[in-house]
Amino acid sequence: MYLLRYALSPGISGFGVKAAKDSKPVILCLGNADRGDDAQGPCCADLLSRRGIPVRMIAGKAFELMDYFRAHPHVIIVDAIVTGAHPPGHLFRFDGPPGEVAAFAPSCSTHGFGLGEALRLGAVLKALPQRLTIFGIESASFEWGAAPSPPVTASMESLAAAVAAEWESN
Amino acid sequence: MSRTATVSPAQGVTTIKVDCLARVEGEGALHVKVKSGKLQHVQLQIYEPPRLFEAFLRGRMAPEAVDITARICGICPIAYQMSAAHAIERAWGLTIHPQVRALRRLFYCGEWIESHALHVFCLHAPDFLGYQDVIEMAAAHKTEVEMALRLKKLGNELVRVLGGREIHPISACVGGFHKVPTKKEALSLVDELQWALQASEAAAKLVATFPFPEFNPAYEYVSLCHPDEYPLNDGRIVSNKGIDIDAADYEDTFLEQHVKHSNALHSVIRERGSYHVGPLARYNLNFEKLPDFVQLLARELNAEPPLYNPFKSILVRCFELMFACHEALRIIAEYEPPPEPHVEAAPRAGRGMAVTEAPRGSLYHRYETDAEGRIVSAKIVPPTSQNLKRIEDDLWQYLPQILDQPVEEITWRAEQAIRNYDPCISCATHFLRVYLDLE
Repeated sequence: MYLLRYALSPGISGFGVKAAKDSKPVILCLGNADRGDDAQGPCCADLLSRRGIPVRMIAGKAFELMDYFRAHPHVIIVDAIVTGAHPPGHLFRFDGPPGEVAAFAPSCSTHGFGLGEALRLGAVLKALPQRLTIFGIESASFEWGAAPSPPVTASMESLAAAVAAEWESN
Repeated sequence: MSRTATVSPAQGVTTIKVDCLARVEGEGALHVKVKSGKLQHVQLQIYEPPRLFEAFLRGRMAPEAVDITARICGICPIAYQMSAAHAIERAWGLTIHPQVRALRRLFYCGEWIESHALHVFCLHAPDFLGYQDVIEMAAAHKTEVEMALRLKKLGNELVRVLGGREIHPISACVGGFHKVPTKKEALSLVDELQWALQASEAAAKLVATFPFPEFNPAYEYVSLCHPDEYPLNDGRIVSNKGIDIDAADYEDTFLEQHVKHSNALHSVIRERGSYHVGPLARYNLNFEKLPDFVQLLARELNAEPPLYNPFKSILVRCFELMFACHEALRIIAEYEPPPEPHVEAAPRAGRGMAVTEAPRGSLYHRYETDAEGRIVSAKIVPPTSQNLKRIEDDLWQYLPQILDQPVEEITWRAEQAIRNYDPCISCATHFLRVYLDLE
């Protein structure tokens, strides 16, 4: 429902905003807005857009990530995180050599080809960006049609603030 | 993709489960049961939640259907936009400008390029080359995977130029487009399309060397057929067994049936049964409308019609990639922006039906509107629901040929047979579990 309601919203549609200048990282927000905590990407995109920060939404087409990996030296990704090692709502930031981040990235996309697969394919093709930073919130539920869980919702502003700080400091 | 096999000789039962199969789009499971060496049970269970699009279209202004139905699928939104626009234009008696018609074909070429490139190389080729997925394949076939990604990017760019953005484009509307590209914007695509045409030919030659299982069902193929064009947006609905109807008569010929094990309806030809839509159907019914050089290559590769082997659909997708690149180049060369991007729509009470050719096959839309232009009723029959019964029928016919193979091989081939159809069970989730019981 989120994407239908906001289909024409210039701020978060992902392709209605101008690309960040090469000197700035590109921010890619992943996720399905209508599937519980997977909505953190779209929600974060919305919050960042309200701050005037350009974002790109990637919904269901992780192969498109490959184009951004090649085109931008620094890529910031926002996606739902599931480690099981932290309570839901825990905010993560991973930053480091793309190969190491790729090794960490989970393969839990409901589309079968998600962030983890895109990073691993990028590694095989030697097509990863110079720098990769991943933000996300430990998630609890990906139920169809559900809103984000309360712990994730409570961390959403912190997530957006952290991503904004990362973008502004580069 | 993960596979687990548990063998319980004491009970004489072997169960195989394949979880999270990445290369089928949608949420479903395949159940196969074999007893005493004979196939007992085949069910393609579709348990993805109902989408309810037809219901919530009711009461909306008809032109909104173009944008709303585009949300049904992230890979083939243009198909939904085109079938919706054409159906509403027929309901309201609108005639579009010839250049707008050409632009819609160009728009569709973009979708075919990106969808076929994805399926051929990233979803289906790993089956033939013995890899678990495209990542494993990329290590040994980097050039081919790079080519696929570049082709896919070109398809996306075509969609962006025509539709305003790559995913769920926003420019198409009833009567034409909200905005059309300039000649310069269209020409900017030419160099890459010329590369893509050559790349598609190379892909066809490579794919033709794949090992294809021997399997040739006597399909009833159904697709659009136009007197002068390889079909995209326009034509009559024909089959190789005598169907030749206008889209307005679709529901007199085809019937959607509910089956207990599937949340997706099964389509059949009334009083006949399953049928096959998609690249193989288009190809067999429209071969002579392909460009001469595509026909020539098909003959060189011993793949001219009649072609009934569904495993060779991957090769036909390569031929259609060649066609789409060639057609896009032709349209761009002849393109002059129309005087107006769209003709104004005058709402009225009406009923319109249209079929267009999505990458996966024929997509039917029917809308009835009231005098103010609100949708009174809507019906959408996507290509995958038209193929679901045919996929089950394929498995009933194909699996007995390979039951003497190891369980892993049977499972692999069953999945591959499903992927022949590039099923798009849903654009939102992608799970297929295969359960194979051998007693």
